[in-house]
Amino acid sequence: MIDFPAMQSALGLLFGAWQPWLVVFPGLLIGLAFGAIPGLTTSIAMVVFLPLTLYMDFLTAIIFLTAIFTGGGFGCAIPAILINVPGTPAAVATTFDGYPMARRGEHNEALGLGLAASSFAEALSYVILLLLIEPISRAVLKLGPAEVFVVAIWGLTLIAALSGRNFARGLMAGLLGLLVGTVGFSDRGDIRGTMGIDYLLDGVPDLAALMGLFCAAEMFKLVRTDFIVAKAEAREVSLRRILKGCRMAFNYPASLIRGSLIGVWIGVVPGVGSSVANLIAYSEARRTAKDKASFGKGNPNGVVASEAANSSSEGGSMATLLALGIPGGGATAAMLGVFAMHNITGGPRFISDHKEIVYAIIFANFFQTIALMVVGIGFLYVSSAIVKVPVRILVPTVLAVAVFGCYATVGNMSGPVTFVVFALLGWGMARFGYPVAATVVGLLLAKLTEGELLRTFQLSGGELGFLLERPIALVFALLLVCSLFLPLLIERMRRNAAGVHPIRD
Amino acid sequence: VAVTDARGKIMRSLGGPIKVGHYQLHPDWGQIAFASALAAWIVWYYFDAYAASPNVQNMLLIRPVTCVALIVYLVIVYQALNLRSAGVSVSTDQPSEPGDTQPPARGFRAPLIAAALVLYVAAIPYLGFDISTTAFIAAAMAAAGERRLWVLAAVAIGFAALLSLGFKFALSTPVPTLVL
Repeated sequence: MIDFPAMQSALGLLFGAWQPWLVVFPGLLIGLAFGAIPGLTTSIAMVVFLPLTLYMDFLTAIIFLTAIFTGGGFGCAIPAILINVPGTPAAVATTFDGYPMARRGEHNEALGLGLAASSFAEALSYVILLLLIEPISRAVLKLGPAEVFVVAIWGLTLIAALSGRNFARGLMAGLLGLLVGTVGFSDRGDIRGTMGIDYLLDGVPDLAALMGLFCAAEMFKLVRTDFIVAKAEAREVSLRRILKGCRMAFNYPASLIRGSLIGVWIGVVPGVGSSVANLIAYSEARRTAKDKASFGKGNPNGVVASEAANSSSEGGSMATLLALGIPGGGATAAMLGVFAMHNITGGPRFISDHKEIVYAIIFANFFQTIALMVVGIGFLYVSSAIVKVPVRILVPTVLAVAVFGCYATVGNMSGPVTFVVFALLGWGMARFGYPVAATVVGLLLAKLTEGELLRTFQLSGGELGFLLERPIALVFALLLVCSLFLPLLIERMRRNAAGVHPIRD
Repeated sequence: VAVTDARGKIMRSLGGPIKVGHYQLHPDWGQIAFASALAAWIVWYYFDAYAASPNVQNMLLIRPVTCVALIVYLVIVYQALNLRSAGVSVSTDQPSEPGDTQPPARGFRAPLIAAALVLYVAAIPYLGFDISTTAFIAAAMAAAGERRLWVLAAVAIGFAALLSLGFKFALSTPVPTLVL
């Protein structure tokens, strides 16, 4: 599986020149900053800096962009933890437990947890890429709409977990998100629910809607307080506690590894990426945990699972890009731009002809994860000072940044308008006890769910027997059912066992 | 909290418990109105999608989701009616968030900032990002309790300029501006 001569020439490529290393730190910082500013995404960062790569050779250019990718993979967690606004959709699940930790004054630990989980998962994902790039590329070609549909349903089951105290309102919030997410052109070409507004033809801009829902729910609640962290002494920014958080991440090895594997697996599937991976990893961590009730209230396990999955999906999507030449999302599409600029075509031939470049990219990413730990800690030290900013300054400025970010992502006023509409909706939902996170999950997965369902329907002609011809889909479905019901079953058995032998305790 | 309580009282005095045989209804009208608004949009969306194409391929996801949503709506309304046997006292089902324990005078901050946000986005096409952002940040900070004029001016002008210029030049996003 590993081609050792190619590996040697890869090391030669990397260590023979200093240029590839020069771009790693700026790339990471750009990624961290773009990820951390709500509304700006990793893909935007890559596109903005794409012209710079014209002056670099192919390997340096790819390393620069993967450094932005790596930085962005963690950067989005920073606002998610500190102000409950995910920097990109990849950090939605990070808010669930990261922000409650911050409100308790454990923002240092939460950020450290996220950083360590991100770095570890990213390194692991590239190890998997190194070992399995060829089998992965063969497997991806076998995935059809039925398989991806099951993955989407897996993500949607998180709605139930997010429902909190009132299941009906949680379900309503999730279903509302699903329907809002299908507004606009369907994959079949029907136009639904646009009210004649041309901007909605492509659907509701999901990043703007997501920020509106999250921002409103949190910012409007925060204005009643003076600081995010109530206790003055808990507001300190402490390197020692950030490092403690980094170490804490390894107390949750199961979530760390499971999150990474889920991330790679989801990242490999084109069109599905870190924004779905973090949700699935979070719900799996919650489902398999003994202390389910503490999730959503600041359980470090949730932060680890979400951050591991969103960072490791980078490795997965790189596998699809390198092995098949298919971009899995906006970020890898920008990288494909670099391929085009250097007259290189990604795909099976690229791997066999340029194995040394593939290995060099993988090795460079190992180095990046170490560099991320260093740069990330410095970045965190500066950015976590946000908890010292009084809420009366923080709330107006965050809202203004979000409005600018929404304008930048969409490119016209429909971004800010969407932001306000969903801010008001989110405010109402928070007021009447609806979980906005469930709506966001529905919104993010709607287009994927409907599109894959439609294609499955079209391929099968509506025959259920079609599923029997899709063994991978069946295995996915079986895994899904197991992950839903096994914990319940085990819990029941444990309770029964405890009930049968009460005297022994 | 003040608003919540006041509204709760008004609602109760408006409607009061409704007697139905041996039962009393203590409806939470706000909850019912909000759920009904959501359900109304869902029904409108269903018919809009149906008008686009009644084909099963178009309604594949929308139809089942709408059906489940309407059932869930009925459950929410039933819960919000607070059906009790006569003589049993009711505890209203209001979400209690950590922020809700703050001084009641601050309850008006969120509506003020929400109104400022709506005006802000509505004003951008006319005043540009620079002027409207300055005005919004100053207004929202004042609504959030900042009283020092120099802080209001400095943060509002500084931040609006930083954002407008930063997006324009560093990110090459041509945000429309009036002055900058």
